[in-house]
Amino acid sequence: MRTAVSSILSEMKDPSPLCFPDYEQTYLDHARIWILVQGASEAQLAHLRTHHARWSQPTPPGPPSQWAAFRYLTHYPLENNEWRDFQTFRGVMGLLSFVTWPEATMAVKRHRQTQAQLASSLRAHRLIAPPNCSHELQGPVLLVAPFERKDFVGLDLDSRINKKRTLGRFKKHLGDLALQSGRANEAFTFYEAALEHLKSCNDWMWLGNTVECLCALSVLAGTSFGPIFEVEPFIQEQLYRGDEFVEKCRELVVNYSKYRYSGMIETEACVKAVRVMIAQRQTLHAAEFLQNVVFINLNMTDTEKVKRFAALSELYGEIGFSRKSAFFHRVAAMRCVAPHNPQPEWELCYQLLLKTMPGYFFPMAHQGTVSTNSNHRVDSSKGWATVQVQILQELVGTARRMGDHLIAIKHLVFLLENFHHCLPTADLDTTCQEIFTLATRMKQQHLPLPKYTLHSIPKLIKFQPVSAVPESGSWGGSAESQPTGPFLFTPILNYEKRRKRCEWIKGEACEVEIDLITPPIPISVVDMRLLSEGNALDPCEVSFVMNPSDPKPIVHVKLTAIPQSFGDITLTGVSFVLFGLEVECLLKDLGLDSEENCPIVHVNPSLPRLHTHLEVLKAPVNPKSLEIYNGETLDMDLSIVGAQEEIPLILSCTMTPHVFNSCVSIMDQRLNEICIKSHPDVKTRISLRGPTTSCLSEETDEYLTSSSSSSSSTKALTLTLTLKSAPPSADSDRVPPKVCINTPMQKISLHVLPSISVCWWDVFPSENPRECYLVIDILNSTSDEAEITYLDGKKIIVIDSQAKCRVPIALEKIASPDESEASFARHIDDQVNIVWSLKKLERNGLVSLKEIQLTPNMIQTLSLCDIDWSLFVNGQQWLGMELQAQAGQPIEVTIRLSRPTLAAASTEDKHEKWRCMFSLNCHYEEEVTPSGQIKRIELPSSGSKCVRSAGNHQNVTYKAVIIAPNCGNLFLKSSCEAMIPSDQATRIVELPLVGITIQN
Amino acid sequence: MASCVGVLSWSNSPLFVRSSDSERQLADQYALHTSLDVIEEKTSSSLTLHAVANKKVIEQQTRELYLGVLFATEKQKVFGYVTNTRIKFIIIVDASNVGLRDNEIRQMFRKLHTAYTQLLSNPFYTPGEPIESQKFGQIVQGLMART
Repeated sequence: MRTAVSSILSEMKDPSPLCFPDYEQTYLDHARIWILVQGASEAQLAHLRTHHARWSQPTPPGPPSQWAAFRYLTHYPLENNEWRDFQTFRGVMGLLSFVTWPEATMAVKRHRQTQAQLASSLRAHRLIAPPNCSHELQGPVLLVAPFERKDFVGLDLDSRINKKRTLGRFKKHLGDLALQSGRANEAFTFYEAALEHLKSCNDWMWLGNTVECLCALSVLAGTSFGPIFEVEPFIQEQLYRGDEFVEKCRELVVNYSKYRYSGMIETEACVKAVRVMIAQRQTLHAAEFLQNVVFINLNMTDTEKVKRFAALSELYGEIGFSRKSAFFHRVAAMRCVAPHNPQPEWELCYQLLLKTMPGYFFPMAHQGTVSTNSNHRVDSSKGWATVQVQILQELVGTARRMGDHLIAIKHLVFLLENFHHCLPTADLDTTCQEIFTLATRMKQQHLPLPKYTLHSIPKLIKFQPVSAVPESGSWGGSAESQPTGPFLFTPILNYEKRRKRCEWIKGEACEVEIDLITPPIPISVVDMRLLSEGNALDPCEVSFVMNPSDPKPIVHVKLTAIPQSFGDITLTGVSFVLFGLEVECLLKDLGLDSEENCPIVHVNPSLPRLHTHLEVLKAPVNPKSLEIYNGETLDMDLSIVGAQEEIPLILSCTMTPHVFNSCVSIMDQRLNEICIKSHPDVKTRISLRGPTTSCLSEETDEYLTSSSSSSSSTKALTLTLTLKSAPPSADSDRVPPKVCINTPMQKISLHVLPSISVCWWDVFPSENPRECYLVIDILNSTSDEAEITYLDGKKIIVIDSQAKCRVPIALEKIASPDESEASFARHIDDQVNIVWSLKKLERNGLVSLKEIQLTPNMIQTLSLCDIDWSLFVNGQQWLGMELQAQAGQPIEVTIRLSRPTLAAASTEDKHEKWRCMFSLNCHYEEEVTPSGQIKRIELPSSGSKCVRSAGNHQNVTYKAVIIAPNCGNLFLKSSCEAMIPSDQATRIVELPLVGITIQN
Repeated sequence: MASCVGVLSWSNSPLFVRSSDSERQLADQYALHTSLDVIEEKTSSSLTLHAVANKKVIEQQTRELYLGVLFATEKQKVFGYVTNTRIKFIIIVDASNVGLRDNEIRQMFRKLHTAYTQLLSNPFYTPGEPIESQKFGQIVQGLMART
């Protein structure tokens, strides 16, 4: 719109004078009489403007004679009055001075002074009369704009062009006067005439002026403002409207722009046009004219520049260009405190910067008012973070320069809250430091600091109240029924679960677990505590440090609070002191899961509270983790403290893996659940037996067969003791009292160590027909010397670490009715009691015989036969003694079998005979070499078999004679098979090996 | 040629801003931000015009994507281009670049639009996220370097 070079027709002779554009001016002011008011108070001005409203805003179109409209100015630069020839209305016609007595002389002096300055235009002071055209019609004189005066020096004033110019300008002047006195029709005629004259002499400046006047007339008589003037219909038709108006405005601006010194007039023309366009909603045109104002180069003071940009941004704001408006507000603000400015106005700068907020934080403007209140949160990912951060930093800087620390802190907190992730770590650190410094300064001056809300540093990501009542089952005893359905998962179930309220107890320390994300800078959070609504809550404070160098990005914090009364408590968030500020972090603004959004906890009245205490005898150090040897028994005492009355409770023990359940016994009962009654100082004994090797080894057989293997590996087990209220019993109506068990569940981890075990075994017949020998190899798998006590403490042996020892144990035979292996094993387990003890460690236990597996032969030997035997050597009954004989002499061996049980059962047929088949094996062992090598020689008679029979009540006797050939040891092994006709069963009678030393 | 190229999302947040002079980055951000007013005005006014016209006209008349000069200052000229999905392309040209023709500007915008379309074809790019594509950056660099 604007021509490239400003000065076409006016030359640059001296620096352009200072300009004071009037941004308030409208087209209506063309038709008003301007009056300067001095010394008026605000109230007096308001009185003037309202009580003379019918003049200042003459709405009903009346006859021209009644027209009088005033514009009251409180301040008018003299420079602008100079333009009164160019635009007649600019000439201030009235001067009103209000006088107050104390300063009366001063006021009068000033009145005189102003009167003298404005003398050329002033018609009256104190007295105002409308101008009369007839007075002016003394004959045309050349009217000039202030800057034109020099241009006309020496010009031929009598030239045809100049005459036209003079006439044209004068007509325009008359038009102005007519308009000011309300004669719109007349004014139009004058303007039209002026236009004709000026066009012919290319007087662009005045041409523009006339067009502007016509624009004003068009607006005042048109429909835009609701016609102020009524004009003749034929004139009405010639007025500018719509696009023509815009076109004319553009034309006049172009005309003005041809002159260097017309900047002020051009600016005002643009502003006036823009106001009309705003009213007509021609936004883009308005923007175009406003953009033009930016280009106009004016010589101005800094204050005027600020005013100009502020006015521009106001106008941009009015057309809805909030960003442009913000931009110019910022430009204006920067002008206020420009480095070369000797008197920077920080207050004004701050006010202007504040006005930029709606524009720069535009995305939020849709949702409502924008404020820099730290409560307000911005979605910084959607905005112009770079620009916004700069604005905020400028706001902070300005506020600091103003010395208003409170505002500076407010903006800093806002910056931190919304843009912490856009700031580089160094800037973030500076920001936090700044907050701290300002907060400290505030405190030093004993100034109060408000509470701030801060959600981003440190960022809270989890808020979970912990139920003080440990399990629903252990509370009150009845809530055992969990809803079960056919589905593994249903959302309904989950929903129910989620709705489950957290239970707290009055007077107890209750906890909330929170997770915080470590910020990129180290911070120290002081006095973090819970915030709540509802019932009184006494929060405990926690202080901690968050350091980005920590390997964990998330810090877990437990906040404790003690409810003071029962009922519901809504937890609203946490508060803490950060950078010296009291900060609140409210859950509702965090956008956590709905579950965590303001959780409600239910506070129960305090209940009888039971404390459990588990004491492990022999292992006082850490009862939570124990080492136990195979076969060792550990006793634990569970005491329940705090009960005032008898409360039935259920104690259950479970061992995981499940296999080892049998290792636990409660009060000597092999149960995993027992009903106990809480009583002050009652102890429940729980015995724990180290599981046997066979339980531990998965490949039992393999382990047992390879006698050398030692299980050095330990196994980890977990013993869980659970205590809960007993459900109401069926036989009593009494509901068990409610209790709260402090630690209803105890977990003990066990490490099972290998100890003393049996790695080989066999069973041999004994010299006593009613007994046999169990021979076992005992392996010490510990790393210490073990002492083994067996035969009821009569026999003690010592086995080195990792050594084996063979032990014979005399065992009574049993007459088992079912002959199952289990019954024999049980028999062995009951009869044999082998105790080991590690003296050094003061540990002891039992050697388990459970892994002994019996072969049919062993069972044979073990079972008590209903046939008795006795052995005679050389006529003497052998009872396990050492035998000696001479080589070459005959040895007589007699075996007699009897049936002692038959006497009792006499129903047996006495004539029946029973048969026995004897077999006798003899072998001979001889030391062949001095080294002790043994040679085994079978005697020729070995293996001979012989059948004898006798009546049922008689004994069967078998005799054999053996001659030993030479020195050595002779071994006799005999056995017999007995056939008893009554049950047709064969009984095998095994006789022990008999050794005879043969001497020469 | 261009001193700054900006791509703004439908919600007016910057997706991509590249300035030829890194020192002018912030100033360019301000320029891009203020130009949004004009863009909104221009696109909304065309919408209201369409609303007035009957439906058939709306279907036939597609809005001109190229918006022309959004505003000019003594130092630079700001041109705008809005896609049908309301993605805004803004090119800032030094005012000293007098010889630049309107057609050349249009061509630059077309190139930018093609590059953006190709970017959208990338399944790993989420529309509305800041553009970090190197290829797109290279094309923009080309627009700024071309003489």
